[in-house]
Amino acid sequence: MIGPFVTESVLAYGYAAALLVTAAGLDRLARRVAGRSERRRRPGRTPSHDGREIVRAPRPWPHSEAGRFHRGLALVLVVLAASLTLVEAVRHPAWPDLALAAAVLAAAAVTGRWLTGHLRAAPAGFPEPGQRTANRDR
Amino acid sequence: MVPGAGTRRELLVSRRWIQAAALVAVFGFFVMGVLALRTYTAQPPVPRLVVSESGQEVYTGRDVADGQKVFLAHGLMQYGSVLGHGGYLGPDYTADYLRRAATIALRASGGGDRAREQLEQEFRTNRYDPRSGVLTYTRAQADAFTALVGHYRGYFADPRTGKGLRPYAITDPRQIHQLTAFLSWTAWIAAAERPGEDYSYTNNWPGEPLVGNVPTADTVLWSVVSLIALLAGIGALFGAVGRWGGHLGWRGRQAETVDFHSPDQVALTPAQRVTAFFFLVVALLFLAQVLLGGATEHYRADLTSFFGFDLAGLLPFNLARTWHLQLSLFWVVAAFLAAGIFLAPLMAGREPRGQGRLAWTLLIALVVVAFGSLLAEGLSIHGFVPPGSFWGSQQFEWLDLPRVWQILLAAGMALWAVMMWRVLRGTLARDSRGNLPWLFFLAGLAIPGVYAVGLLARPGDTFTATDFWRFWVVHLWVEDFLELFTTVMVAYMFVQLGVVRERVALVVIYLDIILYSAGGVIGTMHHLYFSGEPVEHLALGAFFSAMEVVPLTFLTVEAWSFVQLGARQHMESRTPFPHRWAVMFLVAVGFWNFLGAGVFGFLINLPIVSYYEIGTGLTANHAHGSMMGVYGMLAVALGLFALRYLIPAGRWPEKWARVSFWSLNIGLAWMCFATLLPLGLLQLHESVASGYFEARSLGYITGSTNTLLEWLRLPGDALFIVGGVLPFCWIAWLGVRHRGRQAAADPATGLTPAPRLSDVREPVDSA
Ligand code: HEM
Ligand SMILES: [Fe+2]
Repeated sequence: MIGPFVTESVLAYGYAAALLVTAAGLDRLARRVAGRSERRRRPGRTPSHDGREIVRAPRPWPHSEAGRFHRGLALVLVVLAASLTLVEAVRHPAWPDLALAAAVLAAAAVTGRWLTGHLRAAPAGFPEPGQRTANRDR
Repeated sequence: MVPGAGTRRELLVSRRWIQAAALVAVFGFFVMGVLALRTYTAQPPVPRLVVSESGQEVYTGRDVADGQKVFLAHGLMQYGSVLGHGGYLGPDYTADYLRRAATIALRASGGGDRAREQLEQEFRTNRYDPRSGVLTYTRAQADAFTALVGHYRGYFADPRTGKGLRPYAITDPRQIHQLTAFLSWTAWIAAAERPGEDYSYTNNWPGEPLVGNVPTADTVLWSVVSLIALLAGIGALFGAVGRWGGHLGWRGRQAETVDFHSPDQVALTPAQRVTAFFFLVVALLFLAQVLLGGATEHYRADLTSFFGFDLAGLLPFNLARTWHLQLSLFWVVAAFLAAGIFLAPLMAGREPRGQGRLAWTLLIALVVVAFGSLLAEGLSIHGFVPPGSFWGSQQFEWLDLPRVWQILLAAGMALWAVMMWRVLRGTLARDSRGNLPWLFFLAGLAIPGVYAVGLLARPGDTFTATDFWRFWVVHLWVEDFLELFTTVMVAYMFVQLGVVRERVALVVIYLDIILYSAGGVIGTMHHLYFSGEPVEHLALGAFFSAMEVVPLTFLTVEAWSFVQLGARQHMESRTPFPHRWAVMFLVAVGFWNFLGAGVFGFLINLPIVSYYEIGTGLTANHAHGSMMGVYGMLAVALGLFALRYLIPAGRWPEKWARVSFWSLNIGLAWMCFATLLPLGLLQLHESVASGYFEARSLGYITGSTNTLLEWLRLPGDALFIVGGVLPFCWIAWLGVRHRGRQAAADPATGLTPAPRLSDVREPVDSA
């Protein structure tokens, strides 16, 4: 026992919380990976060979999809954190521990929502030659 | 003479790069030479004879050597470990013997503080006489030996399978005596003080309060130093990149437009078409490997029954694990060899006559070696082969295959090197020795070369020396030379695709050689902190292996910059980029290099951590994250690259490539984070809090929290196998079914022209 809590429960919920933090870290990494290519692009690019003016640089693949990859894994960690929490709550359904479980679950829900939002907002961006224009002006 | 020889193309990069790379490599291998020498001069002695105080023979040096062969032949290094090296289900037999011997001695003396002090002194005093080669055991030590021969007889002759070993694993009393002698010797070097020092031959490993084994001052000191080295190294590297990174030249834009050839336009050479069969073999070995992994894992989750079936009679834990590890090497290496066969003609522009037939020969040889050696290991573990047999038993963990097969495998890789040379020799003759074709060839040569060093580990030699050479293969091969060959190959793929200039690729490769070799060569010693080597191995190993993490961090942050730089060019291509999933697998390689190798590796790298951790769950966590994460993902990437041209464009299963990518990565992440990491952390805690012996006991490993954690990986493993490996098998099968389109050979010369993968138009360099 750690204070009023079952040791195993504290460890499990603590680990689940750590997974959420890692997931958030991965999300940041994803942003950096995707963002780096932006900085590297030349400012003020002029016409491409079909003569169109590019106004806003897209996030070029594969940085864009690498970002998705990292966020996908981050979501896996969130799912894992929630699963661990539920399993542990079933193993030790005692009162003060359940409060911890509820807190972790709530945090997982928030992180999960937030990550899903980021995942949706970041398309893979794999360029198909036919739809190049659409891709670029997004 | 090859036409055109003598007029070599000039070196594309500054000569400084070659000089720096050579300097780093020469320095690293010079130090390794010194450490090899020191291994032989400072390793713990194997006494000619061990006697009791009354002069009676306890065991001989011969028994120790033979006992080691017994240990290996029965696959015990794939079940438990000695000196921390081996499998993780069984105990560490060094720690096991030490604890049991000390306990027996203590009980015989009646216990109490005086007796404890006496006991500690008895075990720590070094009674080896180098002149006569005789080691004297005290009465308590000799009595403990006798008692433990009895103990291990019962333990290994157990008719049940509840430990994961086969029933009646070892029953021959002579073998039991020899085996106990070997274990006793490892326990002796673990406690007896090195002459002139106040710590044991193993730097006081394992921790064992009964014999006064606690971490040494050096263990703590070099842990701190290596931590500082890492921080300083990362700081220095990022500083340098910030300052000079712009000059590296890989940030510039290159060819303004690249048009990728559709796979349907790419006509292949005969040997390139044979790689379809290679990749099918790769996929099937991969499948077998993960299924055996499932069986291995099942033992940890439920030791006594396989869903009601007593598996251990047929496939005991140690056999499943032996095959699981061997196959992991086989399929990765087969993929590398196949990729070499596929890429070499692209580099040379053509392929000579007969290369296809050689490719078939190599494939058949590999299949024979793979199945022959696996079979031999099975026979050996089931007791049909005498220990130490050239033909049938060796079984050092990772170098499990018996010697004859080991030699054949090295020979097979040498045949492959010859094949590379046949294709490349014209190119090599015309090119500077510092340019890409030469680097490709030399890195390729190093693969059989370093693997063959493993032959220096012989089952009857002193364990300390065998482990030294073994880690040339386990560490140096995978962490340095494969890493290097990988960079060369990947760089070359992108040069061929026309998205990276050769010069840029070269800079990356040289940088890689320098960064990986700076830490990775001497870093080999991080496996040998406690295996009987003198303290300089520990000091240098800790310091240099910390440096290994630097390039891993760097390459993730810069993450294959050249790949990504290159891959972005297809924005301007009028044809689609064919290698979406091969590139994504490379992105995954970068990620796992950072997490699996860098983070999970460094987690267990400090000597003080390793002291408690070696041979426990965090090693398994690191091994999976790095072996599968880096080399597994890479092998799949190489496979998909070649398969893209072997399968007609219209038949390319884009969806299955995506499913495989996500499933393999999610499955691996789940495996690490749901089970291996938390399990390892808990076990490390147990090791520090209760003791190493306790943390490695079956009682602890099969405890209820552990069992729960073991079951938790099931969804990840299932996804990995069903969603990851099976689709890859399917894609490889499609490769064999279609096998690309054959280019016509020149009837006069017999040469087949190699395909071009892209057209580069208006090359513009605007760095
Ligand atoms: C891709 C690169 C790497 C691969 C494929 C790899 C693979 C492995 C494998 C398979 C083992 C288990 C060996 C055994 O069973 O005896 C291992 C052990 C180990 N690795 Fe790595 N590793 C890599 C990189 C690193 C790095 C960068 C570090 C740290 C700087 C590291 C530190 C260690 C340590 C300390 C052990 C010993 C653990 C023990 O014996 O219990 N590894 N590695
Ligand atoms: Fe290593």
